[in-house]
Amino acid sequence: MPKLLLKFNAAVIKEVPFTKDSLTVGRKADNDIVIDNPAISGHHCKIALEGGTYYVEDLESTNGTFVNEKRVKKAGIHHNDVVGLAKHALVFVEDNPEPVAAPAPSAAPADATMVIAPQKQAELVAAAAGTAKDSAVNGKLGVMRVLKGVVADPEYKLTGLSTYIGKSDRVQIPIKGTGLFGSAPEVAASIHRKPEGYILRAVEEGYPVVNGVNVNGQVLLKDGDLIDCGGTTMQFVMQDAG
Amino acid sequence: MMATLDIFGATDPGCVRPNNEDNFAVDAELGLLVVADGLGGHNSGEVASELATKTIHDFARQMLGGPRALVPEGGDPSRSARARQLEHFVKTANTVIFEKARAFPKDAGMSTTVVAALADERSLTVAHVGDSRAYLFHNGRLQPVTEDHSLVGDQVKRGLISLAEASKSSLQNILTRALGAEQDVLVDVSEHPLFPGDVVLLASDGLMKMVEDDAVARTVATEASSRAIVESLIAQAKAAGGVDNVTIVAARVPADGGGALKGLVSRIFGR
Amino acid sequence: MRYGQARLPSYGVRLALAALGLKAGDAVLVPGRELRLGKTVVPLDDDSRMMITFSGPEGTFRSFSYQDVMNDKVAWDVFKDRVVLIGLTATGVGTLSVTPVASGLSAPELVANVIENVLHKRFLVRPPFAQRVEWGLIAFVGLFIMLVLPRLKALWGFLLSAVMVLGLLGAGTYLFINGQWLKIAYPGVLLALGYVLIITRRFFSTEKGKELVEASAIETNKMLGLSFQGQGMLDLAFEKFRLCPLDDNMKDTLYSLALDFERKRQFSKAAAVLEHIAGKDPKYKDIAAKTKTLKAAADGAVFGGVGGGKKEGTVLITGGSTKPTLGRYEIEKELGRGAMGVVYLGKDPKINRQVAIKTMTLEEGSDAAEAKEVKERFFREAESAGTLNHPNIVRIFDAGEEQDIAYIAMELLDGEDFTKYTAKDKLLPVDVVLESIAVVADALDYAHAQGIVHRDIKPANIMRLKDGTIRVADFGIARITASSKTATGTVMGTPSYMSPEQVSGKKVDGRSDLFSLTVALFELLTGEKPFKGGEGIGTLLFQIANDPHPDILAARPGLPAGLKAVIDKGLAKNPDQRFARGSELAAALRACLGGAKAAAAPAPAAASVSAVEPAAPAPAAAAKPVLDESKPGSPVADVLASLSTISLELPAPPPAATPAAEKTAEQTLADRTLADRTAENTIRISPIEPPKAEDATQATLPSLDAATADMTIKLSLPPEEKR
Repeated sequence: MPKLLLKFNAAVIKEVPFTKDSLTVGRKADNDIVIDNPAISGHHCKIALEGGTYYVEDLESTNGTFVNEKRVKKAGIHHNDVVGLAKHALVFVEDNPEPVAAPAPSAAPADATMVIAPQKQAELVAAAAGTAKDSAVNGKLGVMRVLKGVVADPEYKLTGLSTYIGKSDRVQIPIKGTGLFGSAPEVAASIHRKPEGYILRAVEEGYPVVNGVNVNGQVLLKDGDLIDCGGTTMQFVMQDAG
Repeated sequence: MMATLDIFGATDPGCVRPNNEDNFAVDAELGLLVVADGLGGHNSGEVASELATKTIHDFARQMLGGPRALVPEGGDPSRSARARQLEHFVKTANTVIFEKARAFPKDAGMSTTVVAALADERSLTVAHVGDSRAYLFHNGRLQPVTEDHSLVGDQVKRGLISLAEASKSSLQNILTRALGAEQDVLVDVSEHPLFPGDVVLLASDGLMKMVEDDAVARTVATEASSRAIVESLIAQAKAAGGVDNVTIVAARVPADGGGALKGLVSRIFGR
Repeated sequence: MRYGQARLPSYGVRLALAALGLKAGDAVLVPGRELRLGKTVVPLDDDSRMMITFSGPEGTFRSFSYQDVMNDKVAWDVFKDRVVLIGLTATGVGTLSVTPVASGLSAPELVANVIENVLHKRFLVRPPFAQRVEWGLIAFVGLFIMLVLPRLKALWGFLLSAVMVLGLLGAGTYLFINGQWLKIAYPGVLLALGYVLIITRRFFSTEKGKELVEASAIETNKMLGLSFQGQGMLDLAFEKFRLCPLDDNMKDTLYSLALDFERKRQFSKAAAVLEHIAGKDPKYKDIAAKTKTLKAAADGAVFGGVGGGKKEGTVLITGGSTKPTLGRYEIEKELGRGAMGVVYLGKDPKINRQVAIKTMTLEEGSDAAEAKEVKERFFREAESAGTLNHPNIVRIFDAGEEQDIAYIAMELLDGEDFTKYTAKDKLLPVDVVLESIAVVADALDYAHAQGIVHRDIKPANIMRLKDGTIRVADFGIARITASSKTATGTVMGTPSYMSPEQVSGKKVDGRSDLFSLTVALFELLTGEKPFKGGEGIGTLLFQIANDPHPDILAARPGLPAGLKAVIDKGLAKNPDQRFARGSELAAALRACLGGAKAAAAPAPAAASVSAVEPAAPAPAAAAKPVLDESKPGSPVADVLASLSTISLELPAPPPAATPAAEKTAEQTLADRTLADRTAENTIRISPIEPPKAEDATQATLPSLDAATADMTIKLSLPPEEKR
């Protein structure tokens, strides 16, 4: 069922759904849509369904009925057309807009004549599922649990494509430093999500320690691996994506 | 204190397509890089991609270029200011393209991918929608920092097909997200630290379709300036067939040029 | 001290010597190192000077005024065994030296210090390692500042620096007191300066960048509104601007927006904007007068000359004196909205014929190149349909441009499109559907023969007129195949009806239209689309390209069995496996209809006939016994007559028949006998025309052997299994 948006000077003041096939508009109370304004006639116009199309018909109003700025006696109206009555306007809104509108991800586009660029057919599916699911590797999401040396959170979900570990404020997982001054590299390691799993890469070569072994290049993380970075120890865990 | 990065961008229609529906924007002062690949009937793709780059650039200039940096209100406070800003620019571009497509029937259905980044010599923020990509080159390794929002990309991620199969799939160009398709869009944003000598690379899929990742990595590693990188990659893409429009923007973080001394100086003053 | 070439002991030295009981000659000078006075060794610096340790300011050494002494005020005992110096001390008299301990130390006191040092062996020495230590300290401090300090947190840095400074000072002082002089000043100062420097740098760099301010929704709305305005979307711009408070800046912006509206001749909207400003500031610029003018213009805006410049304009109907015209056509009323613009009812006054006028108004914001492209596309429809002269294709009469409106005058269709018949509860009878589609297939056959592919065949583009005739419409995106060499170029169509090659952007020819037509056929028969897609179009396209289509008989069991073959062939993924021409499809469909309909099929170009003529016991509507259609007397018919119901699977024959061939078919079919009455029987029939290829999608589908040109028909009985 389509509906009408009643606007006064471009501000929507009411939404009127079509509960029946024809609606009358005017100042008098016996109208379906009553607009109390001296510029509106007692019975100003009628909007009715005829033969599959909605028509607006001016009922001999004083100031006239307009469709998209053109004065009419009777005219067909379509999605997004604006029926003007003095300072008021009724915007006709259809549920399933015609192809004129941008294709929405519903049945409409499939029926509308669409234009798709060649070699690059862009199809627009409704927004994908939640990011957690998106980030999961085969349904599982990597999580870093901080066991020792917690700086901020005790747990970090590895939702991003890359997650960085270090002392800097630019990283996602902060660590505690070691030594007299508690120093640690700004960025010590990074974790990258790949189709085959999560990879830990040593940004500061030899600094991160995985299961007791210093990492110089990169290593594929397994569920339960222990990672030491500076004064912080973390455990890598694979969880089912929520 | 924005030590200026060496930024350069270029676009080429390729060898097969008669027109270029890609667009890009760079702003060395703001550290802004944008690449967009448009789609839509006749030249609506070009309209969409230009709208994307222009809108993002305009808003970046207005919100970052002035004496104060503006952050969109009501954002997620747990994210950094730059992430929120970049996301806001991209979402605004989406709104503009969406509304324009709605208002002009001839542009109905137009949309575009986009990948945008804000970079300074310390860190990089990347936002993207679609299958144009951003890469980060660090320590000899080239790493993608975006995941394609495409049917095929999804399949690869879920392990349904391999990357090799993906590059041969006939459904490669079907996107799951694009700017201008719907009223609201989900933008992926990520942040990465940058080190001296790193290179940020933004490219439309015209590059990936033609040139292997290894070759790209080698080019980035060997060429000295951003300009050289971009020109070389475009040449390679065209040599391989140039089936699609190709657009590339590269930004390199100046390496420790004077070596130890510069490092020393920068340590005293620059940290 | 020097005197000429010689070195003579100075005053102080002489006195010291004396005090020590030595003679002048006993002073041995080792230049640069020491002065030996007997047993006492006085260390000298490189310049052979002795450094003086000052004991204190004036008065450290007991002094007495000359007067007093002379006047015996002072006891002589005081002076016993002491070195006494006599000299001028009063200020203004005698020389004064600046020393670390006093700003003005008189000469005697100076000498006193010297002697005191010598006698008491209180020497101030620069240790030999002094230089090295000093440099070392400086270097150390330097490194500290550069490397260590920046890394430390503020607190640590401060503490450490403080400790170091104190340490330096303390050590230096200690050493100094004990006669060693280290120039710790330099390192100390360096440390202090360096510290300050680092701290301030850090302060500035962390406070670097700009003050971050939250941009309120108001500002972002304004920016968004400006973007919209820049793109020609004035209504949206106004909507956004309204949400911003009306300050002076905003007023200017709104005024320029009103001017934009005016330029587009949307006078009432322009007036509305000005009124919005007036709400706050009625005296702003000339808005009062301007509003008046605009409103007058809005009221008076009649659809005069169609040059309204608005794409959504509707025609003035009430008793307008002159009817607006477009080209030579009079515009009577609006009929509806097409994808490119409004469609009007027009009349050609010269020949008094009513026509439909499809218009396209060039939009705001389109530049010359865009406009040209869009117009080209628009007129392409006229061009492609204009060359077609077929009773079942919508006729194009005229095309032109007036002011900013482009129009095409075409046949006025009094009827409806087939969309409504795709609803399950509104399906047309099968024979009507088959016949209609066959007619369309024939029309397409003609169009294809003229080199034109429609590319957007769907129920919405097939019209059923009040008099029952069919028209194919909307060649809007048709491609003149002759002019397209490559597959590149925009792919258009309606996704649900697209053929696999359309979906992949490959080259498209007439067979693609036939695919789309078969999809429409499927839909009109079952109320469902063969490819429904999922959440979005990606799935749909995937299905079209890869998934097999549903079984039409499963979707609607009562259908004639032959249809399955037609559908299967029509929806083959590989175009080579489909009907090569529209006429073949038409014939196949008519074959399913049976004799009566087949005979009535119009055949404009080719002599299209059903493959199996009346003799073939083609099934009619669901549940109707096939027997009705069979030719009495033929063996097949006899057999079939004895069966309750039959579903006949006709192959998808390509019967662009010649009358001779068709007769052959008829005869041969009649001549054949059924082998037996088992579930699957095969009848061999000579085909009307050699088929193209084997239909691989279904094993049971008849295979068409090009060489032998045989057709295989399967009879499966009874059809209950299929139900």
